[in-house]
Order: sequence, then structure tokens, then C-alpha cells
Amino acid sequence: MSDITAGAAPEGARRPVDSGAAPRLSGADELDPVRRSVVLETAVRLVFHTVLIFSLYLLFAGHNQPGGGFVGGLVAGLAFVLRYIAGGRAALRDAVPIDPGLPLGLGLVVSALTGVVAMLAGGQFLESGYVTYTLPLLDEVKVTSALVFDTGVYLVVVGLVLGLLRTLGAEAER
Amino acid sequence: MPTPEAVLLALLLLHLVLALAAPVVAGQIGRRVFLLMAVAPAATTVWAMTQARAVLDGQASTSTTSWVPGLGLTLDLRMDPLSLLMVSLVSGVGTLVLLYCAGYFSPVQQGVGRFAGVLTAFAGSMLGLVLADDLLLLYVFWELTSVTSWLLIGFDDEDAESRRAAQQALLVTTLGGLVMLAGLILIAQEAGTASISQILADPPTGGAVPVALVLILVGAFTKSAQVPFHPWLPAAMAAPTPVSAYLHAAAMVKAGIYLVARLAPAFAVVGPWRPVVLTVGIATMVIGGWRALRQTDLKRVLAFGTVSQLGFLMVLVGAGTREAATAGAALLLAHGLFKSTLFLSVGVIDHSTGTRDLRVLSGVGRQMPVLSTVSVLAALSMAGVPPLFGFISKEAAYEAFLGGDTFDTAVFAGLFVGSVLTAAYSARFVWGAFARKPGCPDTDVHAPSALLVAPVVVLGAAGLVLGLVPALADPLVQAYSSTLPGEQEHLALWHGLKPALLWSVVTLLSGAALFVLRERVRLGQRRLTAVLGRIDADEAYDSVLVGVGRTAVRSTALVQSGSLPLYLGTVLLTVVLLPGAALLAQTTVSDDLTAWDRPLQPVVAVVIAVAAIATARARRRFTAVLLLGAVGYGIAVLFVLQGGPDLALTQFLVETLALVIFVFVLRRLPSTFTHRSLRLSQARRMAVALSVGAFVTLAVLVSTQSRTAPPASQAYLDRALPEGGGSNVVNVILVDFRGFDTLGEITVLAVAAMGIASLVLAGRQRHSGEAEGETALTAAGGQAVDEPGDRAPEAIR
Repeated sequence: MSDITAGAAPEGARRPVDSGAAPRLSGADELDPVRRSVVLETAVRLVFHTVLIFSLYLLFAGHNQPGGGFVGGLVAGLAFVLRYIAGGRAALRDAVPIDPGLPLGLGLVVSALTGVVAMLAGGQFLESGYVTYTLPLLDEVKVTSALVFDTGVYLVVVGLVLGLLRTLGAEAER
Repeated sequence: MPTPEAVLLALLLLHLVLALAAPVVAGQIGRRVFLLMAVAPAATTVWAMTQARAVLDGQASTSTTSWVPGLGLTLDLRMDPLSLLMVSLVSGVGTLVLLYCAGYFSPVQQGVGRFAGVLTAFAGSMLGLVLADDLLLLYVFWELTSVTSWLLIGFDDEDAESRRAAQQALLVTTLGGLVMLAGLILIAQEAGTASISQILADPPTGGAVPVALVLILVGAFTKSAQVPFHPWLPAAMAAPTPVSAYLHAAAMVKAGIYLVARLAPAFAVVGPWRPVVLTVGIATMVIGGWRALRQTDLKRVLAFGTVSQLGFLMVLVGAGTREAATAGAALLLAHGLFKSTLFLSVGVIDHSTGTRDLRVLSGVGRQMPVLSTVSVLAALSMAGVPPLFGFISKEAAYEAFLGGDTFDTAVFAGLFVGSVLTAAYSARFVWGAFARKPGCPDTDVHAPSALLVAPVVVLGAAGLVLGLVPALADPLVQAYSSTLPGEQEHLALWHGLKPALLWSVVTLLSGAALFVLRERVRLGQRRLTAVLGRIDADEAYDSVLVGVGRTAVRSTALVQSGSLPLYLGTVLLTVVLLPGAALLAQTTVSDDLTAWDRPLQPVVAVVIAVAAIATARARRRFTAVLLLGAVGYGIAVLFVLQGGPDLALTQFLVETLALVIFVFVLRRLPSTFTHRSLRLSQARRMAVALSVGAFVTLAVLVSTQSRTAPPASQAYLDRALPEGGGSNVVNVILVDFRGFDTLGEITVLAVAAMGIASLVLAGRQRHSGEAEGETALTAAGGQAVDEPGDRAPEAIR
């Protein structure tokens, strides 16, 4: 349990780390050294980007295979959860130096605009359409308006998880 | 020359455009914006005059524009003689009031643009109300006048009294409006059409009509400040004077009168109409006059006087005879003229002396000769002194009810008492505003600007001209009253020596006597109040508001106990008892059930069941959360086994995230559940849990077997690739077929995220008290909140 509550270091206990080594996880050096875990930090460094890319894969593959914006957003959110657990709120801040409200609002706007664009194109609100391109290497690529809509969902879910991490996680520490 | 249809709609739009432009324009030209605003009602007045000949000849101007075709709503506008009469009041007086405003407000007054815009919007709404030829359209304009009047009364929004007055006016008139809406819909259903002209031409006679009429009358009574809804009108005197003159004398309070006048030709004969309208009207006329006699604020004298006159009008237009309607239409015009003159005069007095208290004002008349002459003329018209227009209408009213049956005589007696009181408070007003009082020093008067006095003079002069030459108004009045049964009675200054003339003289003499003996009257009123006890409709309004608040608090305390187990228990038991009982009543579970498809399923099920029981028995919170996670993962495995990878994926991820969030929260909680519940309540909870489990099992069994239509999923499967362009049907449903639902859901997610942030951060601030530099709600857990703590390490680096 001590690993999970690593971020709970009291304000006064924070001090600069003089370990000599390069920080394993950006921002984690602000933690109390006693509460740091080499294994966890290294592991998160290894998987963090992979998980993020996997989340994007889920988003893009979603239309034809298991996945989609909601699932992709959750996976991306969990990547940030890992980072927060290993490195505390400074690590989270270094990973996403933006207000969680930004992806939240942006996602809503993107999704809603997809619907409006469909109307401008002469269809119904949120009616979807698609175009197929032939690209080098990738062969046939089908781009659907639903993908844009799903991107909005993805962003909202990421924003939600980031918001929860900040309010229930990082903020509760202080 | 454009067609009348186009012009009617264009005039309404002109009001709207000017109203919207007002705040912007006022920023450039200040209070002169009112002169621009006056263009809209002035244009309406001019146009109405050009149409007058045709309208009086029976060719009503009409306009039909499709509005919401799906609901059968159309913008049906129609100008017949009654509408023409109202338009001349609404737009004619409106023009003058807007001109007056340009002189009334100080050049540095804040919020002039907003005020001018709302006042113009009101003028447009009122115009729409009197032109609407559709019951629902009329209702829309009706409520627009309520809302704009609320904004106008509450113009001085930093004053608690004016906020209260605005709220009272809004609550009372919209309450009446809602009741009226029910009545309007009933009438429209009985008649099969919402068109007013068609309903009047062929009135419905169904059983619901009397009920509908009473409901509509309630709306008219609230709007026209009839007893017992009247207190909002005197309270509304907190508004700037031009508003009082326009809304509370000439225009808005006439909406109820207009509606009654509009419906009377068709419905005055229906059962409850005459008793209700006449009783309420007489009561209002007498009570209003009685209260006017005790006021010391000039505006409140006029306000109660208006209440009284509205009662008078209600009697005349609601009586349903041609004679009474003639008098009513004439009084409608006369009252609009003399009452707005008087209100605007009070505005000038207030503006020039700084007070409206008739105990302080003294010797104003000699210092403002023009204004006082006009005001005295208007007051004489109100009291019913010849040769003014007020006298003519009152004379016609007396004629209408004299010499009839007992009922008519009783009504006449009420009108007589009310008119005596009217004469008395008219005298009180003139004396209070302009006379030189013994023992009072002369009030200092600053000369008012011409822009302030000119509209007053025009309005006052109109009353005199119409009195001397009643033939000017007669065709208009007759054109309306001829729609009612009865004998034609022309408006005239001299009817010959008839009983009505005698009674007019008696009325004036009695009124004068009441005024002369005012000290005795005052004591008598006080004694009567002491004997009868205070019956104050205004206090009744307050206690209703307090009562509503109290009921809300009590029912909240009763329903919202704050106990989570109680809420959950209520929800679950309701589910078990209501649909559960229905399920048991008609359950036939067929025999060909297979226990499981794959042998792994029962194994996972057992794991889930064990984890669930262990969760309920866990003593440490952390253990409970982990076990709950096991239940969730187990269900995800079941999804996989059943062949739903999307569902399983989502379930796994949500379960993981929930676990993490649980742990975050657990850091703030004690590690074990603090107190074990009693054995009895444990047993009760187990019973609830088991019955919910049984219910869900049964519901799933029954619902999966009782399919009669082909499953919707097949259609989705067929359509996913060709229409949605994707082969993952779950995703295509989410982003395409049910995309609207998804949009709604992510909106809920966003709102929930902001809500959690606000709750947690606001709560934290309250506890720690370190509020400086942190705007928790706006930052919503954002960067700004992180800063104070993060600066320190950077400095150390």
C-alpha cells in the first residue's frame, strides 16, 4: 500500500534529492526519497508511452475492431494514473502541463461540431460519412467522420480522468 | 404602398430591432436613445390612424405568418376596432412616455440603454398582445409583458424594495398567466381552433367552457390587479415613474381588461361569467378607492386609484351589454389619458422637488402653473366632472345600469360608491400635489425641462378635446360595442335631464364632502380597521411565500434524510416491490433453460458470488474495495466468455479506474469500517440484497424469453457496414446510430468532472482556510491551483 500512497508525502517532508543519478521519472525527484520506488518508476517509464500509443490504436481501430474513443480515453487515462502513482503530482504535472478542463471542453466542442458539420454538408445532425484514400504503405485508409466524433469522446474521457487525478489525487495530498 | 399584412409584422419587428439596439446605441448618445426608441410606437400610431377608416368600416387588417408549422402555431395578427382602440393607447401613450423618459433620466444615469431596450420590448409585446388573433400567440405576448414588466419594476436592482415588488408582480401575473393558459387550451379544444376571431364568430358551448372561462378570468384578474390579486400594483410603484405611467396606467394592466372585453361578446352569457366579473370588479373598485383615501405618497394614491378604476373597467367591459361596453370602451380611453397624465405629473413633481409626500408638498401649483392646470384637468376627468372625457364615460356607465333589474341596481350601487370614493381621492390628489397647506413652507421647485412637461400637456389636452367633442371617439367606441346586444347609446356631453345626470351631481357632492371631512374619514377608517382586524392581501401574499418556503424545507427534511442506506434501501425496495410484484404475478419460466454454455462460466460465477459475499463481510475498507474489484473483473470475464470483447474491455478499464479512485478516497478515511451495524439491521439488509438479487435473476429470465418482435440488434448488424462505414457494430452504434446519446453522455461526464472538482476543492478550502490565490471553482482542479505548492521546489533548484 505504501507504493500506492506514495504521493501522500506531507508538504514539509519535501526536500531536494541528492541521489546523484538522473531522475528516472520526470518530477518524481520531488518526492520523499523514502517513498520512491525504483522498480515502479522504471516500469512506468518503460510502459507509459506504449500505453498511450495503444490508446491511440484503440481509438483508430475502434470502428472495425474492439476499441473506440471511450475505451481509448480510459486507457490513456490509466497511463496518467500510472505516472501519478509512481511519481506523485509533480510527475503528473510534467506529463500533462495543461488544465484538465482543456481536453474536457475541447472534446465536447469537437464532438458537437462533427454533428454541425454533418448538417452543413446537408445531412442530419451527427449523420456520418466516410472517404477512402489509398496511401503509400498503408494501402486503403477509410476516414470516417465518426472517427472525429470519437476523438472528441476520447478527449473528454482523458480530461475526466485527469480531473479526477487532480482533485481526488493531487489536491487531496496537500 | 405595402400591404397591411406586411406592415403589421414589420411594426412588431421594428420594436424588437430597436429594443435590441438600445443598449449599444445608448452607449453613444446617452439618454437621447429614448427619442430613437419613440420611433417604433410613433410609426405604429401613425399607421393605425391611416387604417382607422377601413377598420371602422369593418375591414379588419390581418396578417398571417407561419411560425411553428409542426405545432400549428401561426403569427396571426388582426386589427379590429377593439384592437385599434388598444393600439392607440399602447402606442400613442407609449410614444409620449418614451419622449418623457428622455427628459426624466439624468444624463449620467446608469443602465439607460437596458431600460430603453426593455421598455421598447414591452411596447412591442403589448402591441402584439392586442393584435394577436390566436389564443396561444396572445399567451406568448401576455407572458412577454410579464417578463419585461418584471425587468422594468426591478430597474433599481440594488434596492431590496424594488426587487421584492418586481418579484411580486412577476409571481402573481405569471401564476395567473399559467391558470389562464389552461383555460385558453380548454377553449381552443372545445372550439377546435385557436383563432380568436373564429372562436368569437362561433363560440363553443361544451361543458368545459364555463370552467375554461373562470380560468381565463383568473388570468385577467391577476394582470389587471383585481381583488384579491391587487397588491402587486401599488408595490410596483417602486419602478421609475414613466414605467408606472405606461405599464401601470395605460398599457399592461389593461391587458386583463382587454381580454375580458375581447371575450365578452361571445361569452358574457355563459353561467359564471357575469356574477364573477361583476362581483370582483365592484369589490376592486370600492376597496381600491377606499385604500387610495389613506395614502400619503402621491404615486400610491394614484396606484390605488388605478386599482379602483380597473375594477370599474372590469364591470363595464364584462357586463356584456352594448350600453356598458360603450361606457367601458370610452373609459378605457379616458383612463389611459388621465391616469398617465397624472402619473407623469407626479414624475415631474418628484423630479423638481425631490419628494412625493403630500404632507410635505405645499404651494407647488403656483410655481408650476402649466403642469398644475393640466393635472387638475386630468384629475377632474378622473372624478367625472364635465366637460371632460371622464365625465362622459362615467355618465354612460350610470346610464347603462340605471333603471334595470335588481341585479343591475346592485351593480349601480357599487359603481356609485366607487365613484364617490374616486371623486374624493381625486380631490385629495389635487390638494396634496398642488395646494398651499397651512403650516407647511412652500416646497422648493426646480423648473422642469420642456421635454418633461410637453408629453403631459398633450395627454391632458387630449382628455379635454375628447370631452368637448366626444364625436371624435364615438365611431371607434360604437364599432366595438356594436358587437354586443343592446341599444345604441352615443357618447355625448349633454344627454338631457336624466336620472344619470342627477346621480353624477350627487356623486361629485358626496365626493367633495368626503374630501372636506377627510380628518373624520381618516379616523373612521382607522376605527373600522381596529374593529374588523387587518385583512391585508399583501400580507397574505407574504405568508403564502413563507408557507411555500416552509413546506419545501419540511418536505426536504422528510424526504432527504441524508442517510445513504435509507436512500439505497428505498430505491431497491421500490424496484423489488413494484415491478417485482408484477413479475411474480405473470411469470412462466420455460423448462428449456441451459445452465451454462461453457464449463468456465459457472466457475467464474462462483468466484463472483464468493467475492461479493466477502465484500459485504469485510471489516477493512481496503479489503472491501479490492474484493469489489474482483467482482467487477469477474463480470468482465463473463462478458469475454459470452463473446462481447468491447463490453469486456470497457468493464476492465472502468473497474481499474474505479479501484484507483477508491484508493485515492480511502486515504482520507479510517482503514476499518468504524462501527458494525446491529444484527437486526444486518438481517434487514441481507433480506433486501437477496430479494434484489432474486428480482434481477427473475427479470432477466423472463425478459429474455418473452421476446415477440425480432431483435433490433439484427438491423444494426445489417446496417453497420453500409451506413456507418464500420464493422464493429458496438462502436458504430455509439458514434453513429446513437451518436446523440453519446454526445449527451460525454456532456454528463464533463459536467460531472467539473462538479467533482468544485465539490472537493471548495470543501478543502473551507477546511484548511487557505483561500488566498486559489479560485477553486473556476480553476476546476487546474494549473492555478497547483502553483503555490509548486513554486517552492523550483526556487530550490
